[in-house]
Amino acid sequence: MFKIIMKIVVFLGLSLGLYAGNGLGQSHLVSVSPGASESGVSEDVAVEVKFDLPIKAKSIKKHTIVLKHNNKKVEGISALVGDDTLRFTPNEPLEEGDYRVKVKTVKLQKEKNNNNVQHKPKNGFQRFIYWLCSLFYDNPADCPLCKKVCGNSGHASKFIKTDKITYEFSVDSLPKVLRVDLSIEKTKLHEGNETNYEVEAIYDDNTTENVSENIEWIVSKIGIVSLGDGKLVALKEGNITVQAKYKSKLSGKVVVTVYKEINGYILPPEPDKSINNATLLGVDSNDNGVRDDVERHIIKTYGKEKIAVEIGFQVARAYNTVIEHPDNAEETSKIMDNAMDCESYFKNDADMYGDPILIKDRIITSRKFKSIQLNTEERIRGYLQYNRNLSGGVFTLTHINKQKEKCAFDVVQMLKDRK
Amino acid sequence: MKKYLLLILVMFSFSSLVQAEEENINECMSDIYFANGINTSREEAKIQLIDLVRKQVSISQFNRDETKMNQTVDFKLAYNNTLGIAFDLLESYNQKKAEHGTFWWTLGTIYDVYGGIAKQGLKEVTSEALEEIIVETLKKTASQFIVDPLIDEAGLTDLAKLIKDLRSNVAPSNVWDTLVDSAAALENYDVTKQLGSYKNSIKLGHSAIVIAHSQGNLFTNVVYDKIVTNPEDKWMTKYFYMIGVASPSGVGTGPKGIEIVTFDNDPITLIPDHIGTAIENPLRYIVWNYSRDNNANSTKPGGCLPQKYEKGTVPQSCVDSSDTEYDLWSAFDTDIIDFHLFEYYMNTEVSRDKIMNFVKASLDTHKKADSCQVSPRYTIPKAIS
Repeated sequence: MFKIIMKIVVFLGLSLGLYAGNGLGQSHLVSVSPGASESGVSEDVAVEVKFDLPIKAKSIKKHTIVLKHNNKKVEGISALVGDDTLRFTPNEPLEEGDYRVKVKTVKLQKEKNNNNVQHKPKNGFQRFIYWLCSLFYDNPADCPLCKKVCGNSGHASKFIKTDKITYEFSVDSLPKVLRVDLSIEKTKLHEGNETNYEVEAIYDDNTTENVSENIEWIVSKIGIVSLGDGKLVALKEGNITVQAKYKSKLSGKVVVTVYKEINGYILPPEPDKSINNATLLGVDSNDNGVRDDVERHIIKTYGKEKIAVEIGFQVARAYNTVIEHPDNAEETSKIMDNAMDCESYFKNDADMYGDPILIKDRIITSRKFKSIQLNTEERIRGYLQYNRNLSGGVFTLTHINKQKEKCAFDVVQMLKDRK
Repeated sequence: MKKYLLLILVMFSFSSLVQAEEENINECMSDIYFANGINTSREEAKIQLIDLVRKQVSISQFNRDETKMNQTVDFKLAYNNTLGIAFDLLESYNQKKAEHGTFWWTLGTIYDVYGGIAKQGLKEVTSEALEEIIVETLKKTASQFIVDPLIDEAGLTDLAKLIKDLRSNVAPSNVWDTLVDSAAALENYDVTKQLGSYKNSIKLGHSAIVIAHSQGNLFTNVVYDKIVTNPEDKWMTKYFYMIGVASPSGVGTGPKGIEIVTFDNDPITLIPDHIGTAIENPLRYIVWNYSRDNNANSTKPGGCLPQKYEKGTVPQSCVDSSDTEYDLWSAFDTDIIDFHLFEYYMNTEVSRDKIMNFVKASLDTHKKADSCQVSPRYTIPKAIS
């Protein structure tokens, strides 16, 4: 007798301890949303309950999920989302206050090769335990005590009944995010430099909040910049767009340019080849009369000497002019000659006038330069046509003492600056 | 009274004309012309004149005294354009034909000199093969041909039609005759323009000192022929000086006859009827023939690569050996296109000196004019464009 009483006491103690009561600790339950006891929940929330097994659709009824506020049912629709999530969507936004969620039992489909052990009583004691468990569990086999005591039956059932779930949450009528503004102090940065950014959330109650620390970033190309702690760090040359995402709201796109600078010259971005080569004069993003790919070559090659860079630009502009107006070769050849004279001065003759020799190898006839400048059939044809129009011509050289003045930049000032 | 007034007016007008004419005449001045070679853009040709000719003249003749140089010489480029290597070769062929008559092998050799035949893999040059090569080359480059602005001016209507047909893959007719005629027309167009400039220099009392490189010789020769065969202009030949650098021509031009600088291993010497008078190039290009399979230009065992050597510096081990295997190799001193370049001539002392000596002699001869022996009658002339 004592033995029986002890078993009952042990059973009651164990079963009461193991039984969670609100169903939140049951197996197969993955998550509930909003969370149990969560506060500050948005008024447009939907209740979701997710399991790790597919839910039998027929087991879902109109009131499988019941949401109550002040003991009144909230009107809404229960539905299956995917095959493993129950969702209750209220018809109206929720009022501020406490809510109680009740999720009734549904059936989950077992896996195909379910090797779970089935528990069925064989003797009187086991039958008693099984009966007791059935008072608390739809499927007594789920009862931990029964798993230990009831024994194996080997009979597999197709479905598992879930436990009822009950929990509470509270809704606060927080202001909604209307817009997210991203501001970046400098949008053009030298490689290795950094700048500050700020992300501001603008709410429907006209309040604003600095949310710079809670941002998900959307960038058009990875590796150009890094973002965090209110700092944008320029890592590598390139052009990108940056967007901030906060509470599902996206800011506008901000274009950030990371550039390389050599001796004060900013390299223009490498142009898209198909766009650059689609027209005779190509892409000139800084509008200085020199095609971007040519400008990059000049700065990279001659960047250490500013006067050489300026001569390179003058030569490049001259080439653009002669290929653009090949029929006017007599006139455009003078522009080419000016570039050549300026280059000649700093290659051959500057030392006669107390100036430094700054050009070692010609730019104007450099194979590398020409292969970039005249890199399409249209450009080559322009240059050949210009040449042919000058065929048979006789051209007198500019006197050496007049060459310096043919430079198309402030050569006097630049010579002063380099001293 | 009216007669006197008219006489005074006529005299005044006449003296003004004479004054205007005399203002630019300066018999102490010389114009140094550079006539460029084949396949050269205007900018490349002009830079050859600036960096190689003017720089050397400034150093060797005027000790870099620019003021003195400006009072004595002007530098001019007589530019002959390129219409692509194939067309330029045709042009050269026409010019050679005018000198020596029609020989297919002349064109063949010209083409060979520039590597055309080698690239085509032909061993034997026939007229049919050459015609085919030239036409095929022109077809490939037809898209680059833009002669539109010159069509009427230079009389290239037939060439324009031919190129249009080539571009649109229409089988053209009379290809060869059209090409040859067009090359001649274009040459005539260039020569006519340049002739005016040379004559103008001489009319202003200047000498015309021409440094012609490669094909530039053929153009300048034609210019000279036109001057010398025109009774009205024949007096000008006295003031016309020319030196031919790497000339493919069979004739020399100028008051002193032939002035030629051509290296003995410049490939231009392979052209038939070449004028000769070659000077020895101090740099040799050595290749090896392997006599067992006649595999020329191979690398000889022992690291004897085909390469340039200063004369007398070819390693003995590369030239001969008692080793039986080595005996199968024989060294050949041969030519490469590098030795034809104007840069090479101007950067090599022996040829540069010869060219500069010619310039000095020409300037000195011209300065012997009476008007230069006393203080000049005229003020320093303006630059002549």
